[in-house]
Amino acid sequence: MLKLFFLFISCLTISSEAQTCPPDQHWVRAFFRRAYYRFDGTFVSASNVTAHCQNNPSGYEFWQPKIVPGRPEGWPHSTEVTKNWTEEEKERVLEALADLPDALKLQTLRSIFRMSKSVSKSDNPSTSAQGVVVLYDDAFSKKYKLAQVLAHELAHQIYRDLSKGEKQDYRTVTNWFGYEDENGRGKRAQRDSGYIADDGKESPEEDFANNVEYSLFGPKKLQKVTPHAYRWIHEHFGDKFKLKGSRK
Amino acid sequence: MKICGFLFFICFFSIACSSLPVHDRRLTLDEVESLEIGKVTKSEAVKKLGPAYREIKNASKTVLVFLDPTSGNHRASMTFDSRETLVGKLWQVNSGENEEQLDAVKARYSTAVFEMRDAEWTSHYEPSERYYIDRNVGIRITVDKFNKLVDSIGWSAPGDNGQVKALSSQIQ
Repeated sequence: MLKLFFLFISCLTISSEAQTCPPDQHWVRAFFRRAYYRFDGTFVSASNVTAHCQNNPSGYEFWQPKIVPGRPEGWPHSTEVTKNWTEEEKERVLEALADLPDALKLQTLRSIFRMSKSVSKSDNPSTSAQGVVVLYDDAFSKKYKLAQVLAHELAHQIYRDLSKGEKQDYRTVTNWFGYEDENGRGKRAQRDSGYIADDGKESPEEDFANNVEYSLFGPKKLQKVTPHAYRWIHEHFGDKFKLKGSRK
Repeated sequence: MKICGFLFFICFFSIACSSLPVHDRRLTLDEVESLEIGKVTKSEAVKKLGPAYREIKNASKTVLVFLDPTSGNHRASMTFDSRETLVGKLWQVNSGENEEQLDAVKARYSTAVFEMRDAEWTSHYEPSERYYIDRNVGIRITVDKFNKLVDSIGWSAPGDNGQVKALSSQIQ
């Protein structure tokens, strides 16, 4: 009995020691990692990851507290089901965020939540509201690059944070001209110079999020399809607005 | 010879300045308000406001787009039906103007009774637009609900004819 007690105590000691990591590292519990591709095409194979101290990716202190359980306050999609973050998903999100430029570290972004399925579109990987990003199952599937999904949602928040003058400037430069129709509905005249993604036709906000996303993940395509948006983003964010490697 | 050259330069400069497009002048909210929905024609609007920066046309309507000469940004849009009669107007409020404050705009249209509603969520994001609408008057104020500033003021034919007329006479 006494031996069992000591075994229990020593197990507790080992466990608590293991969770105390050196500075610049954090504790990762054991998990099964599914195979995935990083933003740059690097293949990460499936593996049983053992518990270990992991080097903090760039921006860890900023992003880690924002990955939270539960659901956003007043979330309008009441049928969307909240899901718990797995160790694997948290690590992948931190890695993906570390790949993004510092300009996307937004003080106005409060939380990143996890839910199972989007009600709006069957394969929608994510949704963005004021100060909030929600990631769905598809964000972690092979259909999407997680860093690209996150960049798009953070770009929505950037648009919300732009000053009135900046929004007007962006809309004029990218030929978004509002008008009132005969029934008193606000409309936007579509420009004729192309969209980097079809859903950009919905609104300047969606178009902006697509353009910021592509300025990071497909700059040559953006420059070709929507050069005025490419130039505006380049001038607004500067030369450092580029993807970076996630490992320190 | 030098004097002749100088005179030529002055003459040339004067001609160049006088031929600047009229849309380089600053439009006012009063001017836009004074254009009566359902009555003003496209040519009358152009005569009053000057040539548009852009004309966007489809089968059923034409939209004239006007820019602000200082910022170069969108300032106003006039929508005309297929008979070229004015059916909609939009005024884009600039930063720092009185009309940026919702209370100021409501006070300007004090006879209107506004109903508030938010733009519907699209596929995957929360839109920034919040509307204050009075259908009977035919007026719609668009506010950015995140920075609380008025983005634009729009007019269309009123649900109840006559009220918009009363409103525009009150403004003038």
